[in-house]
Amino acid sequence: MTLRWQDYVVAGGEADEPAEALWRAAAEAAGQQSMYVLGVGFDPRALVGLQQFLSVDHLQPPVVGLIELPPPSPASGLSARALAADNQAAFVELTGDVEVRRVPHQTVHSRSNAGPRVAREATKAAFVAEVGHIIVDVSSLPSSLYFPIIAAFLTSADRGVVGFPTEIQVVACENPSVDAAIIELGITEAVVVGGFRGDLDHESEPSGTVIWAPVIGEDVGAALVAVHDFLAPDDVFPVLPFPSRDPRRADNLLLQHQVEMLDAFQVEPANIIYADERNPFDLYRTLSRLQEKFRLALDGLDSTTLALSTHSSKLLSLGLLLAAYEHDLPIVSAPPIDYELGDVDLSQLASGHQVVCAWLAGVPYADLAMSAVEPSPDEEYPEGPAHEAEPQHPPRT
Amino acid sequence: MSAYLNPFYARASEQQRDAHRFVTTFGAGALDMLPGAAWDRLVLLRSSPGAGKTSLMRLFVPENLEWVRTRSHHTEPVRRALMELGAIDEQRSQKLGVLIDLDRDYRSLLDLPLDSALARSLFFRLLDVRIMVGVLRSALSLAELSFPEAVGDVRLDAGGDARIEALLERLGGPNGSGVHEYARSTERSILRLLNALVESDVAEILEGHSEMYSLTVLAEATILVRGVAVAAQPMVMFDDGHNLDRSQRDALLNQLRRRRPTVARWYSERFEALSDQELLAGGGLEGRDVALVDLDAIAREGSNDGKRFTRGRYDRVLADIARRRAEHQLSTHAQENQEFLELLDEDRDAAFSSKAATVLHSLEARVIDSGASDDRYGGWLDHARSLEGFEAATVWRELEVLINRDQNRQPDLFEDFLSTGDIAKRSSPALREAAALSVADEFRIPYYAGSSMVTRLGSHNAHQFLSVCGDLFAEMLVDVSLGRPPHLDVARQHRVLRASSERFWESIPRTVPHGRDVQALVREIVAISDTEKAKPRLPYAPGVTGTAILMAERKLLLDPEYREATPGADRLFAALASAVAHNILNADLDYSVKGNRYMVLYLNRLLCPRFMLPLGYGSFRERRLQVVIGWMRKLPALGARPQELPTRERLEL
Repeated sequence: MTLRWQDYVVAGGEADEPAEALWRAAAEAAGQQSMYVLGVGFDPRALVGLQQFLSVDHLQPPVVGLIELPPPSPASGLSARALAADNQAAFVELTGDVEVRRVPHQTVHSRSNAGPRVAREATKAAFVAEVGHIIVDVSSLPSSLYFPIIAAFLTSADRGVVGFPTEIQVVACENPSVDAAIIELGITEAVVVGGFRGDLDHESEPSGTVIWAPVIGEDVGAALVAVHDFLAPDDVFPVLPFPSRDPRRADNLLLQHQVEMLDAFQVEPANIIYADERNPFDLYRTLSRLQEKFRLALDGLDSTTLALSTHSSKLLSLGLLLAAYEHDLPIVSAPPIDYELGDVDLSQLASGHQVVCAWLAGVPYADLAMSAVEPSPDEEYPEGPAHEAEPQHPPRT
Repeated sequence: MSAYLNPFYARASEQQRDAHRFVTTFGAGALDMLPGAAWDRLVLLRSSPGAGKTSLMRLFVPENLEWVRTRSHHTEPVRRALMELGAIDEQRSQKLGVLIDLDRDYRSLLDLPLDSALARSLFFRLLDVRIMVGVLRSALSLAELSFPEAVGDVRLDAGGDARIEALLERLGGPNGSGVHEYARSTERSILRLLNALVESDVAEILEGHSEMYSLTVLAEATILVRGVAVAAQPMVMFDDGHNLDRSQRDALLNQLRRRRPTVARWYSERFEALSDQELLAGGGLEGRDVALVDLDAIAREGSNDGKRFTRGRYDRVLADIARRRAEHQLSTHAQENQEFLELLDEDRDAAFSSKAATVLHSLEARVIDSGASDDRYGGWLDHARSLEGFEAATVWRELEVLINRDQNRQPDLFEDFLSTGDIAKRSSPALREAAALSVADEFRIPYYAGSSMVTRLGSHNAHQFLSVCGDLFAEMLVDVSLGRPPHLDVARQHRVLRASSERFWESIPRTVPHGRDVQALVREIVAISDTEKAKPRLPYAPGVTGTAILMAERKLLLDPEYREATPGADRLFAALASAVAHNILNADLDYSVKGNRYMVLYLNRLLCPRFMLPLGYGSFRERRLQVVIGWMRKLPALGARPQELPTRERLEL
C-alpha cells in the first residue's frame, strides 16, 4: 500500500519554515489569485491566520472566502458570544479593502447536512472564480463543516474540474491552552459527518464488523458515549496523543476517561494506539495502517468498517480527515450545541498560538509517478521530510 | 485501574450484538408493562430516555426470542412472560420482529432540494426498503439461514391478489433476491444523494412511494422460506420516533394506525412535556386502533388496571436486573452468594456511634428549650430517652417538629398528656424521613444508603439505576481486589452516592441542551425546598422536591405568540423542554389538586443527594407561570455561568 501523503509538505508550528513560505510558493505555482477560506466564530484563534495571510506581499490581490456560521445561540456562554461579536468586528476591519466572497449560512433539518451544503456552495465556479490557490483555515470552523469542505476541495481538484484551484492548503492555529479553555455544551447525540458516511447505514448490506478509532482529547466522555451508542462497535482502538508537549497527557487522558474506555467500552489495553499530537500526518499514517491491517486480516471472512471520530485538536483532526478521505472511511461526531469559555486570560494565551500549514494538493504532488512497489502493511512508513514531494494517488471519484 | 469488569457500566450498545448477555440480564417483569392487546393495533411506547424502550423492543427480534425459547435455564422468567404474551410457544417464535431505528437518515431527507411531497414519498420508500430487508433478515434468521446469501430462498406470495402483486412488484418482489436488490439500489441512491459534496453529484432525483407499501404487503402476503410458510406474525418496531421531523412523525403514525391486525406495529418516542405530541393528525390518541404505553407513568404508578403491573413493582424489576448483572462477577471473583443489593449495609448506627452522644444531647436540649419541659410532653420525652443510636436522633427531631406543631394548634381540653401512641397518630413515614434527613444534614451523618434508596435513586429509570449501581460496584471492586468481602457500609455508600449525584449535576451543561438554564431551574426548585425545610413545622414532609404550573398556563407557554411577547418565556420553554426530555425533571401532566390541574415537575431523584433532599415523592409547591419566567429573567446574563453560591446566600441576593 502506498499512501497518498506518505511524504508531505507542512510548515509553521515547529517546522523550520513559517506558513507564509508555503503560501508564497503555492501562489507562485498557481499564477492566479489566492483565496483564504475561513469561518468567524467565537474562537480566539479565528483571525490569527488571516491576519498573517493578509500581511504577506501578494503577487495578485488576495480573496477572502467567508463561511458564514450560525449566530451563537442564546444558551451559548456569554464570553463565547462576546468573542464572536469581537471577531466579527475585527474581520470587517481586516478585510476592508479585500474582496470577500461569502457562503451564506443555511438552516438544515439534520446537522449532518450542514457540511455538504456548504461544501457544494464553496465548490461552485462562482465562488472560486479566478482563484488558483485556496487555503482553508479550520481554526474557527467546526469539524462538521471543515471536513466536508476540505473533502469537496480535494475531490474537485482530483477530478480536475476545469477552473477549480489546483493548490490546496489547510491552516490551523494551534494552541492547546485555548483548546482546554473551550467547554462544549449540550452534547446529546452522534451523527455521521456529511460526506463521510463510508459503509455506515447501509442496512441492506450485511452489518459486518465495526471497529471504532476515536482520537481522545480532554473532557470528552459525553461525546465518546454518544458516538459509541451510535456505532455499537465490535472493537475500539482509542488514539492517544504521544509524543506530546506534555509527556503525561496520554496517561492523564486515559485516567480521565477510564470509566468510559475500560468499563463501558471494555477497551483492551493492547488496542490503545499513539500518534504525535503535533504532526497530523503521523495520525494519518497510523489510521491508514490500521484500516489496511483489518482489511487484510478479515478479507474474505467478514466486511469490516473502520469508523473514526475526533475529539481532539484541529491538527490531529486533520490527520484523521486525510485518512478518512483517502480510504473512504466513515467519520462520526457528537457535536456540541453551544460553547463557553472557561475563566482564562485570553491575552496571555495568545502567546501560545502557532499557525501550521499543510499543503494537501498541487505542485508538490504533481509530477511523481506512483510507487511501483507496495510495502506490506507492517512496514513502517518513513517520516516524510518537509517540502518534499512524493507520489500521488489516483483521483477519488 | 481495576482488573475486574464492572457489569453495570457496559453500554446497552455493547449488548446489542450479544444475544446471550442481553437476554440473561433482561428483567422479565418489564414485560408486564406492555398491554394485553399488543399484536393487533398500534402500540405507542413513550418514556423519558433510559427507561428501557429500546431494550423492550429488542427482545422481540428473532435472535433474542429464539435464545429465550431454546435456552431456558437463565431465562426462565423471561420465557414464561413471553409465552404469556404469546410471543413464543414451545415449538417456535410466534413473532417475526423487525427493529427500525428512526435515528438514521430519515430527517436528512428534508434537506434535499426536493418539494415536500417528494421528500415524504422518499421517506416512505426508504422506510419500506428497510422494513423489507428487516423481514428478509428475520425470516432467514428464524430458518437458521444466512443473510444475504440465502435471500433467494425467500418468496412473498400474494395469494393471487392483483393489488398485492402490484405492490410487491414495486418493492422488487416477489422473490427475496429482487426485494433485496431493490432495497440495495434504493438505499445506495438515497445515501449517495445525502452524501454528495459537489453539486454535480446531486443531479439524480428518485421516485418515492405514495404510502408504505411494505405494511400492506406484510398484512396480506405470505412469507415463504424454501417453500415453507413462515408462521410467525410480522412485527415492525420503530424506535426513537422523536428523531423524526414532526411532519414525518405524523405521516408515519397515520400509516401505522391504519387497521392491519395481521401486522404488529410498535412505535417508541421520547416523552415531551412541552409539545402536543399527545395529538395525532386526524384524531385522538387512544382507542380501538392505538394503545398508548406511558412507561414512566406505569413505573411510578403501576398499570391502569392496577393488576398487570402493580405500583412498586418497578423497583423489584430493577432489583432483578441488578442481581442478574452482578451475579456472575460476584460469584466468580468474590465467591459471594449474596445478591448485589444485599451487600449494601443499612445499619446507620455504625457510622453514627462516634457522634451519638453529642448529637443526642444537642437534640434533646433543643426539644426541651422549645418548651417541652411541660408535663404534657413527658411521655414523648421518656420515649425518646429510651431509644438509642440514629433512631433516637430521628425521634428527637421528629418530636421537635411535633411539639412545635402541637404548640401552634388549638388546645384540646381532653388531652392534657400526650402518649407515645399520639406520636404515631400525629407523625407519618414522610415526617420520619424528613427528620432522619434533617439530622443527617445538620450533623453530617451518612444518610443515603441501602437497597431501597439505591432503587429510588434510579428515578424509575433503568439506565440511571444501572449507572448508580455501577458506581457502588466500582467501590465493591476495591474490596474484591484486596481480597475482602465486598460489603459496603453506610458511610461508603453515602460517599459514593453523593459523588454520583455531584457528577450527574456537573454533567448537565455538557450533556443537556440549554444545560446552564436547566441548572438554574433546578436551583430554584432547591431554593423552594430549602425554604420549606427551614420551617420549624416541616409542613411538606418529607420535603419539597418539585414545583408545578397550571395546565392552563402550560398551554400558554406552548403558544409561540405568547412566548414572543413575554420576555424570558422562550428561554423558560427551551430549558423546561430540555430538562424533561433529558430526564432532569420528571413531568406529571394533568395532576389534579385543589380543584386545579397542574403539570408537576419533580427533580430527578439522583439530584437529591447533591442538595441533601429527600428521595420520597409527593411534595411540591406550585408557582405561577410569571414567577417561573421570572426565574429565567433574573439570571445574570444569558448563558453566563452562575456562581456556586449556597442557596441561602442566593435567596438573600
